[in-house]
Amino acid sequence: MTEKSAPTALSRAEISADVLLELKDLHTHFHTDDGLVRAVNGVDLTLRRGRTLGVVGESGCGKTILSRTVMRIVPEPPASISGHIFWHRQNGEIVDLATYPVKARQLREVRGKEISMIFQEPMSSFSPIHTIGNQIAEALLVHERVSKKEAQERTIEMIGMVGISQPDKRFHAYPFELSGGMRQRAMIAMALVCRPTLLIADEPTTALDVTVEAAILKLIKSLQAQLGMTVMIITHDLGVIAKMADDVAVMYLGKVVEQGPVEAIFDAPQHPYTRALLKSMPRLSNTGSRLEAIRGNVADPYTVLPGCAFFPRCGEGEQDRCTAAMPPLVEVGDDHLVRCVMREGVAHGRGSG
Amino acid sequence: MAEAVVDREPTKVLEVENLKKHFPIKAGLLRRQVGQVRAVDGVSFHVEAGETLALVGESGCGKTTTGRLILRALSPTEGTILIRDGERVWPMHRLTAQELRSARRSAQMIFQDPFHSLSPRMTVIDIISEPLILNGVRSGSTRERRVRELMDVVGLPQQYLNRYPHAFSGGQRQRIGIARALALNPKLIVADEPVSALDVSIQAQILNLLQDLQSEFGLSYLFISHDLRVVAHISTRVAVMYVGHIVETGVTEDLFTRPLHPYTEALLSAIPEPDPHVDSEEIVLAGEVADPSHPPAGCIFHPRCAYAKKVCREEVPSLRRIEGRGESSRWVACHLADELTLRGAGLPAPQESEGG
Ligand SMILES: Nc1ncnc2c1ncn2[C@@H]1O[C@H](COP(=O)(O)OP(=O)(O)OP(=O)(O)O)[C@@H](O)[C@H]1O
Ligand SMILES: Nc1ncnc2c1ncn2[C@@H]1O[C@H](COP(=O)(O)OP(=O)(O)OP(=O)(O)O)[C@@H](O)[C@H]1O
Ligand SMILES: [Mg+2]
Ligand SMILES: [Mg+2]
Repeated sequence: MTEKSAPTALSRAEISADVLLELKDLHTHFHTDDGLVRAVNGVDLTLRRGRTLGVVGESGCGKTILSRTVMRIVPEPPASISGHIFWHRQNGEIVDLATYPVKARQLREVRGKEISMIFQEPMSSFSPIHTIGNQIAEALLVHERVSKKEAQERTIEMIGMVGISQPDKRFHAYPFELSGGMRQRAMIAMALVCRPTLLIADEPTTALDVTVEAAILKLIKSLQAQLGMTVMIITHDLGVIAKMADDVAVMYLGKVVEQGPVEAIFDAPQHPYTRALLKSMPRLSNTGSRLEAIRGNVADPYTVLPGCAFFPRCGEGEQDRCTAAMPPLVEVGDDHLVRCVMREGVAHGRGSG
Repeated sequence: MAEAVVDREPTKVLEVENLKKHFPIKAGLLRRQVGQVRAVDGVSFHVEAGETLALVGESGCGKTTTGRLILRALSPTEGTILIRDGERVWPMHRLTAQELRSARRSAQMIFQDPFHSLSPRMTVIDIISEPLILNGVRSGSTRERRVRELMDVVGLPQQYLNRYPHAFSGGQRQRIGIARALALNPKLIVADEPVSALDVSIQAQILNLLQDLQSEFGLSYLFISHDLRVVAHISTRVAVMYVGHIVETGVTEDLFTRPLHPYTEALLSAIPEPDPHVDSEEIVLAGEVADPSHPPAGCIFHPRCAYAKKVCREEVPSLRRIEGRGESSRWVACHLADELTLRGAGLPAPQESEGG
């Protein structure tokens, strides 16, 4: 995390060996009665092996749909997906997950086995009528050639690993018998039982108190180190991002507006939206003052604004420059990209901040 | 009758005394009761008019159960719950279904899980106007006007009026829940993790909104949250819960800077610092949360407490009063509270250990 070389210094082969997932011009649009919802609207992102990418952004900006698109578990229709999801498989093959039909065997092989996900809502990922143990073991039985007995043993081991006491007893518990935090742990056990290459965690700790959150984040980190897992973590908690992420992507209305190494994002945020996000966070050091909320609301998702979608809420922009066209991603530092015309001049000072 | 209660504490919107909820554990073909989960096991606290009391504690410690008991979404096993709305005092613990309907005008809940608190078959206008209908607002146009007003207040675009919840993001759904809770101008709002599904900028708006509504209407909040940065920001006082018990209460700033219970110390140490250069040293608690169906003898926290002594394993500590800063008083259930000096959180650190 401390030593990084510029990507230009690497040969093409080295770059691709390092890359696990590449999203190129990815779109997920929902066709609804009220109009077209551009939930994901042109995302380019690269995930490198063994690293942790944190995704932050306002409610409704498309974080969940982005991650579900990678897994191809958004309902199609009403959604339609375009662009590329290049996934580097465990067997070395590179496949474009965006091109397969929804029911393709290849998707089923990748999903749950190579890429698995912890959801924002733990209750809906478990069926209420089966025990959590059986549901976790089922994931193993579907993806690996194991006996029922072995699946049960590995499940119990995993339930213990995520810090649930008496795992052999809890194997037989129903989801409603567990508190929110326990269900979240059970879901992590389900996501990790097949030892995936990529773990997508969508708000994995938002329902948890801090001590359990600290324990679960530690758990994800240690499992990541043990299994060489890559992690994509979606959260609105910049504290969690600071603790977990190597790289950060900031999303606004379906687009990544800024991405870069975590230190650069916290120390020298460039996009006005990123700056506003950092300012609106409650801090222990100024509890008395009113929080600086970002003014206005997210634009409604049906209308397409000309140029930068953040402009109506931005204090810095200039009408003509910002609304003329969608700003391109400009590089403002090593691996640090920002989609803001006000920063175009800054691009020359790269590496200095 | 509700009105017959003697009003002893006119400034207290909520008074809870010795509240208990024990869930039966059933097993076998005949579903015989084989034990009980002591989810809430004798808690007492109050909420003053216009204040925010935060209820914090580990997952499964009974926060949601406490909130649901207060509004009688669950019936208590034991204890009293009084909710005061002007001249009226509602003894919530023993109201009939009929009386509860009126009482719920005084107190409302915002839920932890925006995905399951909204009916998938109802549109936004149906959801927000439901409490209005239940309370006899007959005119459709009056209801729609109120719903539009509430949508504005919580920052939902009015053109979503006829949308169904599934088409909203988590944060948008939480706003619907807040609008619905505000519909009848309640006195007390029990907010169960109301902002934990929201990103920080919307969180800031909602927290500011809750504070504005509080000063405008003199609302009181029981604010259940695991996010101690949010709690530090919004609450007047804090009650720390552990496995069905309250282990410590105090005025927010006092409690954060000078925790008296080792569990509070551990909670505070685990607050993630929004700074990638800081490697925070959280106290990782040994062992596991006590099983509420088999609570340990002595202090319920002793198996995980780094400071535990013989007395902690043998005697249950009672919640006792300790002098707080200034006027405020502190309550703590720890045998060792007088001898321990525990590490607080927040406010600029006295000594920077490493560069930042
Ligand atoms: N089934 C659907 N039909 C139509 N629109 C949808 C559907 N699901 C999601 N959306 C819309 O897509 C956009 C992105 O939603 P998404 O759930 O990805 O947001 P998010 O960034 O995860 O937000 P949060 O932080 O609140 O979880 C939102 O405008 C949402 O209303
Ligand atoms: N209907 C029920 N039947 C049996 N046990 C229950 C029931 N509801 C809750 N419990 C148990 O009561 C305890 C308290 O649960 P509660 O949901 O109140 O915790 P919480 O503090 O809100 O946790 P979290 O932070 O995870 O939301 C837990 O041990 C839980 O498993
Ligand atoms: Mg989401
Ligand atoms: Mg709860």
